[in-house]
Amino acid sequence: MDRTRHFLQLFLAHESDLRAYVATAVRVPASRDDVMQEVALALWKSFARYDPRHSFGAWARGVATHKVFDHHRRESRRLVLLSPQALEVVRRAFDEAEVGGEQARREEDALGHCVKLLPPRSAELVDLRYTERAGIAVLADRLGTTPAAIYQQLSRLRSVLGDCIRRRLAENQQPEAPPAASLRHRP
Amino acid sequence: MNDPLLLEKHLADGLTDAETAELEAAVGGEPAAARRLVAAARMDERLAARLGPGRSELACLAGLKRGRTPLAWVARWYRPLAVAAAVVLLLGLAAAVGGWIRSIASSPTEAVTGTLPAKARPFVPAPVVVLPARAADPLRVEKETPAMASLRRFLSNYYLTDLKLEAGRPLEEALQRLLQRARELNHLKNPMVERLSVELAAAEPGDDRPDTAVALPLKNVSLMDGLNWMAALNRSEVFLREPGVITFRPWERDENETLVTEVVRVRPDLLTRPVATDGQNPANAEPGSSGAGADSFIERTETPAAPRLTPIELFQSWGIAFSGQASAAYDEATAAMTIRQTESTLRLITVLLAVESSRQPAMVSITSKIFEYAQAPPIRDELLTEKQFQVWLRDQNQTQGVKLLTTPQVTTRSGQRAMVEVGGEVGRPGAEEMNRTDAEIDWQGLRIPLEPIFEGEVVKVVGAVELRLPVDRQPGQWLVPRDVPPGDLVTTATDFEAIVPPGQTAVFSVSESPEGPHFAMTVTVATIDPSGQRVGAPEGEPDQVRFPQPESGGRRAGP
Repeated sequence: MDRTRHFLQLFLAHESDLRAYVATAVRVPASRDDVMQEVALALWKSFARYDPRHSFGAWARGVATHKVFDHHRRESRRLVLLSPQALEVVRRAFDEAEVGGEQARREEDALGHCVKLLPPRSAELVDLRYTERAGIAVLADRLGTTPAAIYQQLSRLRSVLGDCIRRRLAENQQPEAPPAASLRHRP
Repeated sequence: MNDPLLLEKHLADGLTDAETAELEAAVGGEPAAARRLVAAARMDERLAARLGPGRSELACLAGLKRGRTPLAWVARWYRPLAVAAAVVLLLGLAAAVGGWIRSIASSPTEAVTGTLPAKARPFVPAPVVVLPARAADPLRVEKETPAMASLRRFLSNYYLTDLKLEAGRPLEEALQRLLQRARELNHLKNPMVERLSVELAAAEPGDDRPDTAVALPLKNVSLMDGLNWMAALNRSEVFLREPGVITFRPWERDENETLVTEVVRVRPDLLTRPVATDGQNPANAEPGSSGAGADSFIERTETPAAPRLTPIELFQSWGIAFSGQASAAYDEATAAMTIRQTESTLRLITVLLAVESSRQPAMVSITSKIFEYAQAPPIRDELLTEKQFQVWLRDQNQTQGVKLLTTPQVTTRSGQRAMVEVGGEVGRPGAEEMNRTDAEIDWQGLRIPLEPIFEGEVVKVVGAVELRLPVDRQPGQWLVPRDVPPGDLVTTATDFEAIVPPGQTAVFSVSESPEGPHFAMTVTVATIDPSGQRVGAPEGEPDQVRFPQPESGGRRAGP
C-alpha cells in the first residue's frame, strides 16, 4: 500500500474521534476546524515517524494536543476550554476507549439507523442542532423552552442514542432479533 | 460528576471559569467523568458528521468515500471557497481603511514613554469590552467537596494580622513564611492549619516568570487573599487540593507581546483609598477605610485620604511596569478602567483587581456587659461558649446583690481602636489647682478603650476598663454624673487582653480591692462579613483567655 493511501485510511478511520478530542479542548467551532486542519497537515508531514506498532489514534491525539496549545498561544487562551492537566486526562480516556476502523464504521451505521427511530420532537431537535447548526439559545427560542432544558434534552438524547447503538450492535451479532420499534425518552 | 449538563454546555457553548474548574476537577478526580466526556464528545461529533455539512480535512483527497453523493463532496468545499473569497474582500477593505487606522494611531492616550518592544500594533480605539465579572473568589479547587468548601471558608476567615515579606526572595520561601505566620496565629490549635502545605508546579524550561515575591506587607487580610495575591504576582493560579495542599500552577506562557486593550470595571473608590501607613503598598490599607465608621463609639483615628492615584501609579505600586505604549485611564462616570497592556500583564492586572475587589475587611462586633456586685464576686476569668454563657447569665440573674449596669456594643475593624463610654461630663471645680488634665476632669463614668485584632481564626481584644466614680457612690447606683470635686472621685483602671473565638465570651472580674467596688465584665465577639452576616461562631470548649496583660503590670488604681 502506498504511503498516501495508508495515511488516508488511518486518518479517516480516526478522524471522527480526533475531531471529538479537539472539540473537548477548543471552544469555537471555527477554531476547531482550524486546529483540525493543522493537525491533519502535521500528521501527514510527520507520518514517516509514525510507528505502526502503536495506535494511530493515540499518536494523532498527541500531535493534536501540541497543535491545540500552539493555537492557544498564538490566538487566545479563551478559545481553549481545559487546562493541560485536564486535557491529558481526557486524552488518556480517549486512548483507553479508542474506537477506530471497522468498529467505528459499525457504530456510525448503527447511529444512522437509530437517528431514524427518534420521535418527532427529538428528531426536530437533532435536525436543528446538527443539520442547521443552531446554537443553544436559538434552539431554546425556536422550541419555546430554556437553554437548560435544551442541555437536558441533548443529554438524554445522547443517552438514548448510545443505548440504541449498543442494542443495534448486539442485535447484529445475533442471528435474528426483532427490531426496536422506536426510541423512548425518559420523562 | 454531579451535573451531566456541564458536559453539554462544555461542548456546545463553553463554560464559565467556575464551571470549567468544576469540570476539570471532575475529570481529574473521577475516571468515569472523563469517560462520559469522551462519550459525549464522540457522539456529538458523529451526529455533526452524519447530519451536518461535510467537514473532513482530507475527505477531498479520499474522494467519494463513505457513500457520499457528489453534491455532498462539493459541499465540503464550500467553506474553504467562502474563506478564500472573504480573505480577498478583507484585504481590499483593509487597504481602504489603512489610512484611517494610521490617523487614529496618532490619537493622544495616557501613554507613558518607555522601551516596550515595538511589536505593538497601531492604536485602534477598541470596542468597549467589559470583562465578565470574575468570581469574587478566584481560588480554584480541584474537586469541590464539603471538605473543600469548609477549607475554602476557613481560608477566607483565617486572618493574618501582619506579614512582612522581603523583596527578592523566592516565592517558595515567601509561601513558607505565609504558612509559618498562619501557624503562629493558630491559637485554637486547629489541625487544618497544621495540615496546610504548598506545592509549586515545576516551571517549564525557559520559563522566565518571576519566581520572587515582591515586598508584600500584608495586614489584616485573610489567608485566601494573601495566597491569591502572591499567586497573581507570580503569574500563577492557586488550586486547593485535599487535604489542604495548596498548589500554585503557572499560567500558560504567553509569548505574544502585542498590546491589547480591555476595559475593566473597578470599585469606584479604588483610586481614592488612603495610602497605607507603612507607605509601601496601598494593598495594606483597609478597603473602604476612608469611610467613617457607623458606630459613634469608634474613635476617629483614620488616615487622611491621600491625593487621588492615577491608574498607572496604582499599578506601579503593585510592581507592574507600564512602558512604551502601555497605558491606563480611569473613567469616573462609569467606574471603568481602560487598560492597554500586553496580554499576560493584562491578565495579571485583572486578577489583582479581582482579588482587590473581593478583599473586604471583616468587621468585629464586641458586645460587653458590666455587672456590679455588692460583695466580691466569685468570678473566674474564663472563656464561655454561647450556651455556657447563657447559663452563666442566668446564674448572675438569680444571684442577689448583682446588678447589670450596662450592655455597650461596638463594631469596628481589626486594628482599629474603639472606645466605649458610659457616663458624662461634669464640672471642673478646682481643676487647675489639682493639676489634672481636662480629660480626667471632664468625664465621669465608665470607659472601655479597646482594640480587636484578628489573629488566625480568633479575635484578640486588648483594652482596659476605666472607672471614674464619686467616692460616696453606693453599689448598684449607676453612673449619674454629679458635680463633685476631683478629689471626691475614685479612678480605677484594669487592663485586659482576651483571645476570643467568634461567638464565644470572655468573662473576667475587674474588682480592685476587697472593699470594692466590685465589677465583672463580659466580652462577646462576633465577626461580621461585608454583607452584614455573622461569620463562624465555632462551638466547643473554650481555649484560653489571658488577662491581665503581663507586661502592663495588670490592674492599676488611683485616686
